[in-house]
Amino acid sequence: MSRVQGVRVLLGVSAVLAALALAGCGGDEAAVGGAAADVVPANVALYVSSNTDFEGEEWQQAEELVRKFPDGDRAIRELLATIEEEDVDFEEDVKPAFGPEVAVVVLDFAGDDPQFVGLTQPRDQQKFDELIAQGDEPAVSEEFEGWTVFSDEQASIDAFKQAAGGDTLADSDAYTEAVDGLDEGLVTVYVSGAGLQRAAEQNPTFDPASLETVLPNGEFPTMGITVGADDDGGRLDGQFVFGGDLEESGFVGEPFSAELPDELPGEVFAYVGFNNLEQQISRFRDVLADVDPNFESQLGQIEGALGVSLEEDIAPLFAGEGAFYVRRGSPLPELTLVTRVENDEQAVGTVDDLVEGLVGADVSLPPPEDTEIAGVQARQLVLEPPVTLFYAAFDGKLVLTTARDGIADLREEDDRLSDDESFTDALDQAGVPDETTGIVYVNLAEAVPLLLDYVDASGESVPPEVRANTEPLQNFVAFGTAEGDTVTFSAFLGVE
Amino acid sequence: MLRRIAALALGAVALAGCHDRPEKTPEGAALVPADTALFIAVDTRLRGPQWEELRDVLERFPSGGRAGELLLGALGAQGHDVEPALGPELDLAVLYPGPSGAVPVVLLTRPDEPDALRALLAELEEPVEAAELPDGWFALAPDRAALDGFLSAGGGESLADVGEFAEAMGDLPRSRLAAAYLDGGLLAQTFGGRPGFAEPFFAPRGGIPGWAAAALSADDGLRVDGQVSAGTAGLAFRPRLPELVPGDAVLYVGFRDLTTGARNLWRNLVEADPTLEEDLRGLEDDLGLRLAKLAPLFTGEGGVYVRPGAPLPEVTLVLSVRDAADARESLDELASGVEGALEGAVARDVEIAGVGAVELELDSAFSLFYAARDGIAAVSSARGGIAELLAPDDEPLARSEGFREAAASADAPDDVLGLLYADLEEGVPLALGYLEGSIPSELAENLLPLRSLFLYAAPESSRVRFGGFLRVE
Repeated sequence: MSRVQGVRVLLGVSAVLAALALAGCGGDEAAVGGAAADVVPANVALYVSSNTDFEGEEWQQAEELVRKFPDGDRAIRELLATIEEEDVDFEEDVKPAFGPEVAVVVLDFAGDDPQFVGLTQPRDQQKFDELIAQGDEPAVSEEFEGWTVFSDEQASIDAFKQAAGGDTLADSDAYTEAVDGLDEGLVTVYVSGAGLQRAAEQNPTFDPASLETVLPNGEFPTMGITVGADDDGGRLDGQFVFGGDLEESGFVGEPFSAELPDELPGEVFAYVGFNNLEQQISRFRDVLADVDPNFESQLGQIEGALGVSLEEDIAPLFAGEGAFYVRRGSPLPELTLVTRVENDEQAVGTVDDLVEGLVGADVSLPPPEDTEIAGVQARQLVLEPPVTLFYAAFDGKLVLTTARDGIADLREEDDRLSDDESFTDALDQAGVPDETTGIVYVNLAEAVPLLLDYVDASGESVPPEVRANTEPLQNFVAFGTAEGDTVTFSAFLGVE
Repeated sequence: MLRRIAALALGAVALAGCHDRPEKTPEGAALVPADTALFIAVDTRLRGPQWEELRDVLERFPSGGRAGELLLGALGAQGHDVEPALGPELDLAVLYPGPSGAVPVVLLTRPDEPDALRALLAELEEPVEAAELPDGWFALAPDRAALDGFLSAGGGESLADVGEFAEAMGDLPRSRLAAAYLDGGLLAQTFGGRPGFAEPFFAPRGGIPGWAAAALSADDGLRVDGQVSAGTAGLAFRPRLPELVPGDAVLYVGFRDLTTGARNLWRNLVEADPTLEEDLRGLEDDLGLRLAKLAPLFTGEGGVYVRPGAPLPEVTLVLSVRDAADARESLDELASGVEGALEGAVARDVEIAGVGAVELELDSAFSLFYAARDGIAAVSSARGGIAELLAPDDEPLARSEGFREAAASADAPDDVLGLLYADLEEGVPLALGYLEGSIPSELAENLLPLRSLFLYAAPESSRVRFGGFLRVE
């Protein structure tokens, strides 16, 4: 222990506490962002608050969640052992040394060695003092407005106190806007857009003008993220507050209500729903053109070779609602892309042109053949037997898929994705609203074993404990919404 | 030329005229000798209800409307009106070899318009030998020797006079597209002149069957019904395992007591090639196990099924055993033997769905899994095969709509000697996943309307009845 630095202990302990909280081992109810925000200066670059009340009601829930994984307990023990390797006992030394909340603050990202401080309200001040006193270079701490502030050097604490003379983080508009509306979490992370801006500006190669092409008003967003857990799984909610209206910027589409799941087949492993990517494709083209002066000419060469224009031909195919999904298939899973189009014939014509261009550019590709699938005239392009691409447009939908069933099953009316309980339950559990800017859904209960089977078949043996510890994973859902200058997103990992 | 004759018969099936229902005994049977080896009578009254059904079935295939055109193309008779050249019945007769050793194969028909047939024969690209018989019948053969062989075989008792033939035809459905009669002697000859070779399959039921008869009919799909004469009917069983097999199986084969047939087959194989006995001993020595010890595993009901899997479909063998512990012990011994005999093979205990199982890793990319519990032993190519069998998530095969519908469509009885079920709606796309790009797209698209196939065999008095139904949608 003699060689152990006190700061290292504190950092390790803080990291473990954060990890425990992320894993669901959190404390009782607290305001979003924690109480430390009431004393932390408004202009900090990074603020992370972990709820560490181990005696709280949620602890039991969290333990239940962890125990759903066969090796969950062991993982926690191993995590704690990383502390105890430093001759620190978690139960005896660490738990009493910290209070129900531990916060870490980075005052500024600028500089090679950013200053940070930690804040807590120790249950047992003596234990805390003993903890930070360990090592050759003990940490320093100081009382400040009812909190114990600690750091690796006094200068950081002094800087913290000096900055704290003004507004607090909890009072700042940037912070409240970033965490406003987020679900309460066990860990809250706040990243200041202004802090990022200051750090970027310190880089001599930084060109502020380049930011204007990729970020509204050329400003870094301020970010608020919470991570939480309950009996059913883990959740991450976040908010990015930009410097200008996102819809006007063209980076984010208007929220939409997904209707394609009423027409897509059920039992998908993964589904990505999106809407009107045409505007975003155009916007990103502009961004790439600004970032790389050669981009336009290179793109022009590719467009000339393929005979289609990204902006005039391809992007309009994505003007409506779209979906990309993965279903069971043999020997490979079926991958299908569906987009709503106004003119079936025109849409297929565009893909025909694109395929013709690809075939012309690659002599190993055979020309596509006509084929009929479930009464639909489709095209079949053999990429590398048995990998084949089928495409067709019907009923206002353009479909590109790797299996005949990808088209045939779209012609069915029963067992749609919107009827699939795995899908609907997962979306309900994740709290997906009626309108989003996009949805990602993965049926992990089906997809992970399949993935492991592929790994096994490739000759790489999957350890039994990997299978066992992935069995509790049920689903993953992520979605986003946008309004004005704010993008909100959530991700939920279902565990059973 | 034989191919052309067969194509002509098939073409006739698709193109010929319209009359009433066929007689139970085909008229052409009166023209062929009593010891005809194989006789197939095709109802060529195409505008009758059976052919209406067939057209309805064919139209469900993307290329179904072109079936007649394709067959005419195969005949080299595109553009010809074949219908008047055929009568209400077209028969194919395969006789036993004559003194010359040649096998006479002939087609028989009594055309509505003989001149139309004469004109058609004259226009065929490859010549067909023809002889005009009494009562307006024509005999067609690929060459003169075959035709002469047929003509010289006549004069004695005809097939129509054979009581078994008349009885077999009488028991077939009257409404049919075609009927076939196979003499048991041909079966013996087919097995290389070693009648004993076929016995293992039939011995439990009285040796090689005297005859087999089958009818093909169309009824919202294609149906086959038939019977095989057998000394004894054999032991039927009521399939229970489909109550355990996962409902998403795309292929299921059910059976019972493979040991007797396997033992007899082995005995005959060894008689034919005594060195096999030595080879088996060598294999058993390598495995450290007498294979006969595994026999008790196969005395009860068994099933093999295939489920979708990736990258390979899952294949599972499930056996109903008296004592799961004994079964597990036998499988353990086999696994241990394989582990010792096959380099790189490793057997390890695993837990699947809360049940102790064994993974027998044959190489780094392929393992077999097995377990035994509650009167069931199972061996599967996938972990999920054991899990789904021992701790099912979904409804079993026996309760799945597809299985029940297929069994009902095939009129399968409760007690059978064996059964085969294929969920073609799921199975065809599964197979196409491996074949896409390697087979013509027209073939692939014409496989998609297939929905299911159910075949069964069941005892009936001193015969074995069999049947099946291919559902098309």
